[in-house]
Amino acid sequence: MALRTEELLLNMGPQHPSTHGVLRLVVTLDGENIVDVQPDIGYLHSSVEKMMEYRTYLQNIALVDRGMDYLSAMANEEVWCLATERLAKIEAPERARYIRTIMLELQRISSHLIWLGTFGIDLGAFTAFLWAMRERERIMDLFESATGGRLHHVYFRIGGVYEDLPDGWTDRCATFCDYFMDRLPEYDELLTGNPIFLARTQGVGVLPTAKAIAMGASGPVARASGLAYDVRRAHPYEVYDRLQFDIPVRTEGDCFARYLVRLEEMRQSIRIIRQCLETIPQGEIRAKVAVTLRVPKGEVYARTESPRGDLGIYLISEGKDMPYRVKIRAPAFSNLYALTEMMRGWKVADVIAILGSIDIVLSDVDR
Amino acid sequence: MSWDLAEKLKVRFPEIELFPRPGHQPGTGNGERGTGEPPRGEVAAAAPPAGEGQTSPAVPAKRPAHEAPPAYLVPGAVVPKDKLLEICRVLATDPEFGLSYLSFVTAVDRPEAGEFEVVYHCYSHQSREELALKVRVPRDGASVPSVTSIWDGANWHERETYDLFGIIFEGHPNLRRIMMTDDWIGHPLRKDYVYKDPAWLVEVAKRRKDEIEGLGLGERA
Repeated sequence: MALRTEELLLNMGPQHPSTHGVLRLVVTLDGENIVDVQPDIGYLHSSVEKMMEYRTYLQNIALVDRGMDYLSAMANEEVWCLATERLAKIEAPERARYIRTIMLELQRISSHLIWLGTFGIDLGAFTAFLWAMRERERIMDLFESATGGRLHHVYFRIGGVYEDLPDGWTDRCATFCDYFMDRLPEYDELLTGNPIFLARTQGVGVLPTAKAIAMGASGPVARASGLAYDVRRAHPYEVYDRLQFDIPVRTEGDCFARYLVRLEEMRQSIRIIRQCLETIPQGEIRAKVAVTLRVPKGEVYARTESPRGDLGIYLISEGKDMPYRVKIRAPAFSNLYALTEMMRGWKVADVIAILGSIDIVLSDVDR
Repeated sequence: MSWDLAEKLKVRFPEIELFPRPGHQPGTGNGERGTGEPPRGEVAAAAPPAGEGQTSPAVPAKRPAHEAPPAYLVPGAVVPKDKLLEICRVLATDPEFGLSYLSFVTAVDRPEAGEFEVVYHCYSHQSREELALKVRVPRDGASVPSVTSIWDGANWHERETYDLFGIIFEGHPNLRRIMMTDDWIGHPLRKDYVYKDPAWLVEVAKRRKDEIEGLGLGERA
């Protein structure tokens, strides 16, 4: 007599230590094997797009800081300012564009460090978290001294940045770059060569290139699947077109490849920051822009490379002092959808590793 | 950002209507678009003839916005609803277009025209070209065919658009609310959707306000 079996429906979250925020995964299991995963999102939905329609262009800078991805506030400010500047034909001064580039890359490192730490914790490596936080603290200090804020900066303005860098900031930033490059090999020792870490990430959660494109994945997730695409290279903004940097691409498409891509991206970010610090010019930091800026009628799509991927804003203006409609193209939203493909066929214990490897921030998913 | 793909599509499907172009200067317009890939360069190139010596940052500050020429900076086309699937299939599969990546699907509410504009934004990683499509549908009983069979990634984007606008995507495999709870009433991103605090919340806020005033902290406001 055959044993009667049936599929098991397992709820992970919304309160689960490894879901990186409030995310519920409805996992259909056949024994230990994952048959299907349906992420249930929306717990952090605050309808930022609706709120933006009721705020001026300047006020919205503070809103995108908080309402979108809270771990990369600079990237959110950047995409919003970029969209507005393009539509209003405002150009930020040279110095401001350098400052923005430095801030964006620092933000990328700090966001990747959070990811590295939490990914380590997900897989049982606690030291990585402490070390990553230690490095991130230095970046937070740099942010704090320049912008006054640690997480939410409201530092970028339409047509520039709020204030010039304080005295000695560039030296402190250069010191941080040296310090951080010394620390990076330690992560290799801690995780890259760790047999437990390798066993849990190598070959796990594979996302093929064609699937990654079709499902709308972007950023490190797509680059780990062999898609050599980075907005900073394909559609340069700020001063990325005159900087030397590599775009790490892996073809394996597994969790380990995603880890390696992000680790290398941090090295490249340091490279970018060093070049900017060497060549940053003196001068104005903000173009003259009215506080109640009225943006001419029109439509624009601005895209940037946020730490999580292809972050875009589709802005529609009707010539008023508030936008008519803003669509935020959040990278984590599409990356999380690709999760359903990555997880199919793996064991229930791999759920944590795969989810950790795509680096989602739920406020970016839900907005 | 070039209009080549949009023009090619217009040749293939004459019934589509291209978006209005920035500047409306056919002679100079093509030159700028060909050279400046990042829009910053395009803006810099376009500013001197348009501003006549004015610096470009001063333009929006000095002139009222309604006098500035409209700037439609996204190449794209308005397509009829019944042709949407056919056009999308050509865009995604024909190597001439190669738009295999769907950036997002969203909608814009135009209550004065009584219609929604459903917006699709496609991109090609090979040619680095983008193209936006718009479908105009009446606000009452709005529906468009789902493009999930062409771009798998449209799945959640269409669910989000359904959730926040109430547009039905016919043939979608799993058209449920995604952001709001299942029992939510209304579609928040519609222009006529006005958030109103429930009565109990108004009551709580009033009570809090009275309490704070009782503490003598009222002068802060």
